[in-house]
Amino acid sequence: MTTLLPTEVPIEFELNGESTLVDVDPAESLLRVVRGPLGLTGAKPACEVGQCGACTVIVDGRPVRSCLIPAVRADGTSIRTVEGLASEGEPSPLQQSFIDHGAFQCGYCTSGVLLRLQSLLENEPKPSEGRIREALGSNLCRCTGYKKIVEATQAAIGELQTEPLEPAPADGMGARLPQKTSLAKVSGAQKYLADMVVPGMLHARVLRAPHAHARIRSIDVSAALELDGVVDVITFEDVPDTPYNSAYRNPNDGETLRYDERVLNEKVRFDGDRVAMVAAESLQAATEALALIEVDYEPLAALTDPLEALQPGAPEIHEGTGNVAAPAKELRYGDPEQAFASADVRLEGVFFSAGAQHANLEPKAVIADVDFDGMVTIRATTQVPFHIRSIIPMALGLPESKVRIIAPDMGGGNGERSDPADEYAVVMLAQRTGRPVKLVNTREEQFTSTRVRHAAVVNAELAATKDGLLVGRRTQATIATGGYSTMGYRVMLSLGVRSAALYNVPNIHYQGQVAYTNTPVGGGMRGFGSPQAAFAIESQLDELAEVLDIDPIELRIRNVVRAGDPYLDLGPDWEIRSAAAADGLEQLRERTGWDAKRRDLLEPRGDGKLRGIGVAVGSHISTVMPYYRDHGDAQLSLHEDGTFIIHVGVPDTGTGSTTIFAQLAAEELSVPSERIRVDTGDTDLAPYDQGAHSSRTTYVAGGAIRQAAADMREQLLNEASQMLELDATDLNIEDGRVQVRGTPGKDLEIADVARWVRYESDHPQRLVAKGTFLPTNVAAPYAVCIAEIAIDPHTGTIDVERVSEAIDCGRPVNPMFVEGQLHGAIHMGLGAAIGEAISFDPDGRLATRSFGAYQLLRAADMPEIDTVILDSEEPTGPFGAKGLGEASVVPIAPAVANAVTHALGERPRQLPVTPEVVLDLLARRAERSQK
Amino acid sequence: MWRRCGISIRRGRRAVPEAASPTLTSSLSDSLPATGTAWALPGTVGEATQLLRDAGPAARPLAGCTAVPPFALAQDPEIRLAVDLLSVGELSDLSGDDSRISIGSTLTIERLACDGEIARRLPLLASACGGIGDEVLRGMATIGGNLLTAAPSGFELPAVIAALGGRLELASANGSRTIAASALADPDALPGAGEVLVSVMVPEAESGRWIYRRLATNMRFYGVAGLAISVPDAGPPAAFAAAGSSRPQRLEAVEQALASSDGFDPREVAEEAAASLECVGDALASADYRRRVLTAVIADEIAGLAGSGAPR
Repeated sequence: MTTLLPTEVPIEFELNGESTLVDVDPAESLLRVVRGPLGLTGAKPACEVGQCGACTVIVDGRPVRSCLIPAVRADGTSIRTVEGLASEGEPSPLQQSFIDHGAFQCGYCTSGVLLRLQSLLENEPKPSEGRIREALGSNLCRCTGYKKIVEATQAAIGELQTEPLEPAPADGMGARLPQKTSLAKVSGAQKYLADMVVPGMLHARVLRAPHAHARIRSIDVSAALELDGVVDVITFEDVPDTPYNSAYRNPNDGETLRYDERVLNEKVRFDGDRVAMVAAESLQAATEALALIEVDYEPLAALTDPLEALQPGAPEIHEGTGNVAAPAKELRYGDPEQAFASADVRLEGVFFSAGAQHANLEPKAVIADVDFDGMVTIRATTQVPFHIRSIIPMALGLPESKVRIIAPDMGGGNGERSDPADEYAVVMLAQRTGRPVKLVNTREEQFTSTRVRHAAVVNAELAATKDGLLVGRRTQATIATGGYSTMGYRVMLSLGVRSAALYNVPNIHYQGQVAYTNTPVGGGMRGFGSPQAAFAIESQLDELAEVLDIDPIELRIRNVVRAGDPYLDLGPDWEIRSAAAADGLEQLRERTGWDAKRRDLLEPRGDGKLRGIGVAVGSHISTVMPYYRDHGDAQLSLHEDGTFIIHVGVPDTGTGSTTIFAQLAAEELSVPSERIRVDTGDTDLAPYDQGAHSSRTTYVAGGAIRQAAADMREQLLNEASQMLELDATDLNIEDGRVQVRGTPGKDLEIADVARWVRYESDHPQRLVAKGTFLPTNVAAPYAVCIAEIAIDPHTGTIDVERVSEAIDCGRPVNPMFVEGQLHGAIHMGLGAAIGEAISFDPDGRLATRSFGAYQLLRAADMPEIDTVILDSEEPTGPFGAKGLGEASVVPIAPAVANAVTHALGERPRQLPVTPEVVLDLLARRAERSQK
Repeated sequence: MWRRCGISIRRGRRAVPEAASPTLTSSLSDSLPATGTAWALPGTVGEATQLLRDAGPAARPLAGCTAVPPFALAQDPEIRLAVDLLSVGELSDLSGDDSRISIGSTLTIERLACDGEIARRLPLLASACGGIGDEVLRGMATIGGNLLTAAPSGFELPAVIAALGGRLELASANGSRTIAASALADPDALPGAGEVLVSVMVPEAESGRWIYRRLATNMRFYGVAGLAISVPDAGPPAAFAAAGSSRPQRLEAVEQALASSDGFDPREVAEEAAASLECVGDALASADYRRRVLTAVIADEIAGLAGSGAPR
């Protein structure tokens, strides 16, 4: 007998041990029921089509993806979510092990990962590492490279075999502290933007272009407006005709930016471009309204290749531009022509790097609210709250003071959230409706409509002496910025100049250009031009090593910069103050057994695979100075209970930066970091900061925090001296207390001082300190990578067996976080090396629209990883620290490409090195051997 | 031994209802909500097929929901009725006799991968199931979905079932029929919108050899092609490939070579076989790559089969 269920039906089940009765739409997913009416937001929506595992829960003892379970099927089951893992308020052993081992960063995937592994351990109490990795194959993580997840799981069952860690301080600089948000992240309590609900809010959806390039002949929204629940629909006819550039930062940007964006467009320039936006009482109504908007498109020829786009006569994506998306950039120092003319060896090659997706697990989201006074509050997944507080008012004609940005902790950054995209239209809907409006991207929208790494074609020439000393480089780079220029100029500039801090090349000529293409818009992505440059440079260094019969590591050691060398592109005032790349090369040569492997790996083994080992070095920056202005402010206040609060504009994208800030302040103040709270990313509460980009968080924002802490320390000692009627020089702060030198027993609690100042002194106040950091150096970090690979000659597939990476990040603030950054960088770098690439169909539509088509490494794909934190100290950084997040990704793909070359004797000149590329290389090798 | 995964086998063959009595026909359209998706829990195959007939294109049969998850239902306003095949108990039967095994269409891939009896009697199938997706996905996805959703990601089992000489038992409101799994190669032979896959019937070979290769990109989750070869000791060999779609494509050159008592050049046979394939290009691999890699793997595998033998 068929049962036809109504659209609302009661179901009953056990949820984390409690009997639960709830009315559901039977076709709705269990994920949405658990997160919605039941309010448990630990299970995360990241793809909602069963490909990522972020929504994993345990149903009747089995792990399932709750996005794939229709709610009605939950009736009569027993369900466990991450909120049910803890017992009597105490984390489970697995949760605690995750905290202790730093097994998460952004935390967005963590609840799903925990439940997958909890289920495994309940069925198999002592799984091997391989079995853990196999089980973990059900879950994607973008941050950790899975290494610390596996280690934490092994530790939880007493099976972790590792070498003893270097002794580390218990707190402050160098301490291996867990993230301050650890408990929240392992318990599901951490609130991401998609988890947040504002009373009375509407739900927005974006109608996105189904063509890569088209003109809108007409658009009819009347049927959508008539749908029950739909409150507003806007199209290009409703928005101000104000061009803007989402990468705008300040008036100094000048002519480098093209102001080519509008809130909504009459012409669409990539598959996924905004056409209209709907606000409705429910997400379902907003979704259904999209299908009712009638748009008549005039499709136009689409361009996906930047070189084709710049050809004379190519269809213009923005009329009158010739598809030139930014001013060309030319850099020259030394005498490159002379250098090439007199060089012993000259090499030339063209290297292509594909565009790539950040693939952060948390989808981009925004909630905009407008109060009675017209004050706009925007909660956004943004790395740059102060930046978008500048650009959104500019586009919408608002005074900047009428906009407040709040950036909660995010589920990954990697550069994706460095400029706004849909936020403008959401604000407009909030203004028009007088209601809060929330937009959360679907995973498909994440792929089509968020920023991507710029595809780049790099024509590179290298000149050297017969001793292997580099004497000149000439580079022409063309990058694809997609439908709008945004950060194209900056990435093109970065591609040309950042590598100047890596090798001593006295003569350089760089020419860069940026092309419009009908592809997703290029933006910031970890490395910001450096990975594309490094692929060319590091490939040519290996070619040079072969030509000169010099070991590739030795060749790099001869040329790599050292402390005291100049930043060649910046002139004599800018000196490299710390650079340990040479040490990294030496250490990895030793640790990997490089010399023997370069010889032995070429010997056939029984499995028929071809093996190789390759090296590469990478660098980036810790600040955008001096090409762009950069400074950070921070504020530190002291509460009367002795707790310090840092206000800083840099949001935490998942790297643990809030903990880093607390450690820096703790080191300066000599107080436990647990007594330091960090409030980030609110433009009304925090002083100005440029945000979490360019690996500047530790160096610049951390520098400002250290200065604020120093100021606070001085204020505290001065106040204590008045309180005790002693000279301030007789006092010191140690172990979280104000101590009188040489007089034990006269200690003061810091809270005593704070209370005295406020309630008893003649100058009552709450102590507030400020710090400003104006970088005086680029403080480039350096990373060295050695990759070992095996190739199946039948299929062309590459198995990366081992990756070793050494990092010069100055003094590490938190070595556990540094390791985590390296592991994540290796994951992203390997992706770029062997699989990650956005691709298009013949009509220019994006082919990689899901985690099923865009290839990300899973746990079983990851190699054995060895990391080294080099002994280094950046004199200009806070306690000797500098950045690392971006530099660490730069050498990975080139090292793999060089390992492929070692294995095959043929060089790949495009990334990623897919199996097809390998088969082509093998075919070329066969042709050569026949000749 | 059939109970390792909680499966109890029923001997004998279940009767497929040819025509169930109508209960909702006249009122079905009135019963559907104005917006959203209604959810139907049919109790029998007959009831399911009747719902599909009556609701026409507005109905969507669902089982594991890995191909059409709830989110996709919400995105598609054309789907007004979800017909939940998991409520039909007979679709999850696993039964068999000495000559064949009948696999209910809603049995999960994981059950087939982990069942000892399947592993013993149909090792090619068990092997293929163990490589699909990931463990959690396998626990939710069904054999029916893998065979019939026509999604490129479900490419594994059509070729495998075809190589095993399997047949698909289909039911509709108009009756039932069976087709050879190999017929899935022909788009015109694919089950219609009102049809439900009831079971997959796979003959058991007395003995023989088999090969299954799932070819992936550099990341093993992302399969791009498959090769399934069955060489029974008594009977003709069968060889099928998947080359970027769920269509099982017969490799006649391979079958002929393996059936012949004459020697053959594996590379020549592989090239001939691969040349006959219609390969699809997509984001994971080009059509050309699929042809090249299948050529190499076919040559490698049939050389092994012709030489020292293969597992079993």
